[in-house]
Amino acid sequence: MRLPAFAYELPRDLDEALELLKTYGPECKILAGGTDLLVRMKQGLTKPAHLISLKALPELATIQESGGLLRIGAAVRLADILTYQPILDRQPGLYEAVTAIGAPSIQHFRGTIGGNLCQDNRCQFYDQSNYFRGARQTCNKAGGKTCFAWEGGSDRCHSICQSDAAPVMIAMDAQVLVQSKRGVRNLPLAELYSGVGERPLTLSDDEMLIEIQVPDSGSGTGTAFAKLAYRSAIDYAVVSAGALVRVEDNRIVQANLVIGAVSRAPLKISGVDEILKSRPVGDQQVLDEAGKVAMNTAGAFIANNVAQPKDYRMQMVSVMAKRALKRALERALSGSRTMEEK
Amino acid sequence: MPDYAFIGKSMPRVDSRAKVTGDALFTADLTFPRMLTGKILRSIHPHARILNIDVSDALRLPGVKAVVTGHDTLGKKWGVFRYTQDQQFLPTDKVRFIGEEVAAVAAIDEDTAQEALGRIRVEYEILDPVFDPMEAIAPGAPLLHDDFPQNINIHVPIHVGNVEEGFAKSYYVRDDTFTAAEDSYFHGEPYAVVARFDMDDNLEIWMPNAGPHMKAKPLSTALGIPLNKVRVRKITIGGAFGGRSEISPGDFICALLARKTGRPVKIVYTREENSIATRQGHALITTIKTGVDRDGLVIARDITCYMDGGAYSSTGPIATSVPFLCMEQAYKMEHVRYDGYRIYTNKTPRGMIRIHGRAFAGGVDIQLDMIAEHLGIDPVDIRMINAREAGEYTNTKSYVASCAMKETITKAADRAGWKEKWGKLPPMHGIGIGCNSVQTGFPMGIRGGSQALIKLNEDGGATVISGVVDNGQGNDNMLVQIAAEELGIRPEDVQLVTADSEVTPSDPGAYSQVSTFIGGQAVKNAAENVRKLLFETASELLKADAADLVARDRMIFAKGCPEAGIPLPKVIRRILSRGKSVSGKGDYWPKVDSKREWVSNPFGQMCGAFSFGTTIAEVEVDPETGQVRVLEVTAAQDVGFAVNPLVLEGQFQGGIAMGGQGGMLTECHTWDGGFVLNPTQLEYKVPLACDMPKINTILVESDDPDGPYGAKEAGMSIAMCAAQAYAAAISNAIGVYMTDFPITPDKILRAIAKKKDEAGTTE
Amino acid sequence: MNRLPLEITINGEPHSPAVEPNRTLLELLRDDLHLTGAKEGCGEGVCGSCTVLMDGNPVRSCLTLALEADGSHITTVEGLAQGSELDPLQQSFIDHGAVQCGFCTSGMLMTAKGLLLRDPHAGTGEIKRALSGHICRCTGYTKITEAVEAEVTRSKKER
Repeated sequence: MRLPAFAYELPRDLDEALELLKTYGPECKILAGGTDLLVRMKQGLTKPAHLISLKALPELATIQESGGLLRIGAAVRLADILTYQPILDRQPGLYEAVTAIGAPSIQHFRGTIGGNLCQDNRCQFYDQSNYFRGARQTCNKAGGKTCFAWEGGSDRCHSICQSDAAPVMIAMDAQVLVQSKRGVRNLPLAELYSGVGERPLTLSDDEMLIEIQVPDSGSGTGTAFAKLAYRSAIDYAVVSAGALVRVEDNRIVQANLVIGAVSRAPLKISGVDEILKSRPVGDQQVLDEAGKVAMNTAGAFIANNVAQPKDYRMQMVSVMAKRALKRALERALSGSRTMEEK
Repeated sequence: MPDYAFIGKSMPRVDSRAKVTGDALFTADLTFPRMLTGKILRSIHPHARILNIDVSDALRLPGVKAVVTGHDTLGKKWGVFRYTQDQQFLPTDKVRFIGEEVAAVAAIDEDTAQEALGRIRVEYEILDPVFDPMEAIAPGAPLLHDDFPQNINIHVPIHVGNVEEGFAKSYYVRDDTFTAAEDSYFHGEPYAVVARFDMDDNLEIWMPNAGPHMKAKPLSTALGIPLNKVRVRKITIGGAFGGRSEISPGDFICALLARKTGRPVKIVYTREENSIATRQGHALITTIKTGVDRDGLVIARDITCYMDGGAYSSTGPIATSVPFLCMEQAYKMEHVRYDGYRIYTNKTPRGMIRIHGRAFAGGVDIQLDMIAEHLGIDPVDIRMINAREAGEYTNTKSYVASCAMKETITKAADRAGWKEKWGKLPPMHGIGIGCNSVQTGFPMGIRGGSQALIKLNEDGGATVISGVVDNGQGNDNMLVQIAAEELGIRPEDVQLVTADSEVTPSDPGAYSQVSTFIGGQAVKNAAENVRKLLFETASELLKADAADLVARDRMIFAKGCPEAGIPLPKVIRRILSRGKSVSGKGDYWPKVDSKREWVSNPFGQMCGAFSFGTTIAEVEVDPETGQVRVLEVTAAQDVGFAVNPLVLEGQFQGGIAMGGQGGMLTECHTWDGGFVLNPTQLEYKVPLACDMPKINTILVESDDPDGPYGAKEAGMSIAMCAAQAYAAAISNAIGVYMTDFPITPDKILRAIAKKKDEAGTTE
Repeated sequence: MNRLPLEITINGEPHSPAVEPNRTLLELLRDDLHLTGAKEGCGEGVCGSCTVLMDGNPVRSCLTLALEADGSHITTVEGLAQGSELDPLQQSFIDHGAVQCGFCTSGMLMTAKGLLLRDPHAGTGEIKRALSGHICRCTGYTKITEAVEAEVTRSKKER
């Protein structure tokens, strides 16, 4: 499969990159690992006139810790996250999520954390070849006026955010740094996502993701990521869940749950926090209730955008939510933050 | 057991080295001087009349060297069988599925070819499509082919005995329906064709194929050139699995473009094209009614099978028959009635596939489990009661000379710990068994036999010329093993010239794993003839009786006196010096009933031998997600004789991956009308390394009287019964008999919930 | 499109082609340099048949721009053997029956090689995980895994 023609830009520093973004705006795209972007270009889903390579910007590929924050450059390779000792030691949820992305020989050595977070939304009617889409009506995401994934049609796009890294990082209250020639913005990772299928990121055309900041959890905090997929690798999630649970004096003081792969943006489930905080730690039913809340929230969003049936995915929202919360709680209680022996 | 040098030994394959170094050339790896890139324009409608095709704009694009449409053809309709001639390789009247070939371009590079496609204007008159086979045969449905009323492409009626009488005297009768969506081949290698005409106007063509001679004849007919000017060449092939047997429109189109441009042309299919525009497996609706006696012996079986055939016949009669035939070979039945219908729909044509009719096969075995439960007997026992035995005839009158079906059942059950596990596993933990049989070949008329030629060089090396083709299963190595054994030389002394329709004599092709039985046998016969020649002269030189001579390790000697032998080259030179050539030929034609025909006369000897297999699978189901973890799979097959155990184990393992792990758990195409939604390996879930269970392989040898060294089909029985075993194991685990395949997690959860509901209501 | 200069080492040999920006590493290898060992099985990074080593790490050459490999050392399957002497991993594949149709073989070899370069003592779980980015339709993966395991054992003995 051939790539369309484009101009290749190789900025030597961040400022040059930002200048290019400013100049070309909507006609350019950032090339990190390319494992998402290049596929879309081959399928004719996007046709940027310019690609801005991050190859010569090692400053975007560093991980450091400062002031209680883990600062991960947007261009950090997934493989480097998986070998960064402090993440192995203290961030099991993040480790689980990055491990679950695709497969080692596909993404881990080329793919980046920023690339995974910023991947375009997906839908079984949209992620198809030029040939397939040329034989049908154009859908909303492709600039047309219909949605195949929504029963009865829709004037909005019902594609899915399929980032495996996003749910748990949002649950961890991650922040992101976004930069343009106009300056730097610091915003919660959750706000990077627009919820608009046609344009899933809140980045302006002249902006790029620079860094992701993950607060150091401290003891008594547990994180976890649960992904349901039909195969052991390669697949996007059918449903996923990222969770953070914080325990103090044997009481849950914070619980964040984010459901992935069901909606146009990672889905923060409100209400879970209250439920978990209001009950003693050993209560088994509380997880069932949390699962139900997650399922009901997700229900409004689930569409026919993947092959697996909607009712199954609904049920799995509850199951994955419970599994992620349970594991995060166990890690919070045990005080151990490393990955358990399997 | 005779003391073989190579036969029966696990040895590495002779074709492996070139594959691990990257030297092996697949079709898309070929380049020739001045070669052009071809691309095919495909229909965007599932059903439409072609009103006009305007290629003028495409021809004007610089770099475009030729454009072809139906008008460049003789307009003939082709079919695998005379009574299934329904396909034009470039249609002139209608398109019948999304993905069908409409026009093609040859240009100096891919980008130009792609742009040219975009400039071809096709005017269509859109017709109503039909996608569901039951809707397609209902009155008023859009008709795909004028010659096939009600869209019934094939009807195979096999009626033996009187099923009504049989049911009347049965102790227990039940009726169940089983369904499966289509599965698909997903060969590693996407389809590709390279064609060129040489200076004498001979066509040389390369493509993945399961029988070069099967490709050559239809090409000759379609192009209007004699058979000896069509050379289908040997090439490394990345899998066939039944889907690359007959000629493909891409073959014809590439040849046409090569002829028109006078230059070599290469067409490489995308993964999507390989999925939507070559072949898929059939979707099936199978209704099975079975009556048994008190002990569980089947008295009568009545099966109706509706197969979703897609837009053209392909190998329709075969695909409509094989699921039934496999069953009647594996299991005894006093009375049987089978009505198999292959129905046209506006989708990709469906062909023979290694897992023939998973709904049929899975259905037969699941129903046996249902019957066993009702009678209070063990699923293994009901298989044993109904198992085929040697010396019997199938219902369609094929004699089964060798059969170790029962041995495969007991050995598999033993190894899998069936007795300790059946009925004793905790909830959500299950074990299941599947049995099947595969015919080693089928009647192929004038193409049913194989001939081999062998020549020896003066230094003792041999060249074996055979039409046998290797799709990756190890056929080349099999020929080398046999030739080396019979000639008394080493595998490295044997050169192969194979699968070339110009040079190699006709061979049936690699269908139904027939290559060892027929092609291997022909090589064995040829080698024996050469050896006879060598021994005539060697007996003089050694002053020994020819009957006492042995050829081994490049020497010929009298039995028991290996140190007093003569080197082979010396014998060869002696023969040559007397003015006689050192070469030989041999052929093999299986003893089949030449009057047997799939539709008009489905009775008589089907093939020379049958293989029999049993698979037992043990699974664990996650009751929250419905996901299945396969713990262990045990596969036992009666292969007649294991020519190369290492190769056979690999076949079993691959068969379990395709038939069981993929075929029963995750594999199916999903559709939106006439559009395939999952044409790539991302969304069509072929299993991965971490998905696979522990596999135990057991080779059972029944020593077939006609097979070379007693060998017959090896591997396909396992691919088929692995699907059955998986279905049975999952059903056992969740306590619900699953009747719709593949058994995806959502179906499992629904079944578990339904069972809980029903249990709730009966309390 | 203008062609841009590229400096790339492939199987130890330096090359300085001028390439168009949209030239993938796979196209450079197969079409420009006639190294056809890496295959296109899907074109979108899923099947693994195009896998090569880039600075010792397995990558999908069908999703890597040639220009992105500027300054890199690429190893393809053709670069595993030393002259006519096969890499022990290649020999292990042959000996264990890990090769059937052969289409996935080069990708499997490159990922296995990359794994063993990083972790010569890789266990079965790691081997299977590494190979899970590759699709094989013929073997069911058992003998491929065994071939890599055998090479780990053999090289341990050698030390």
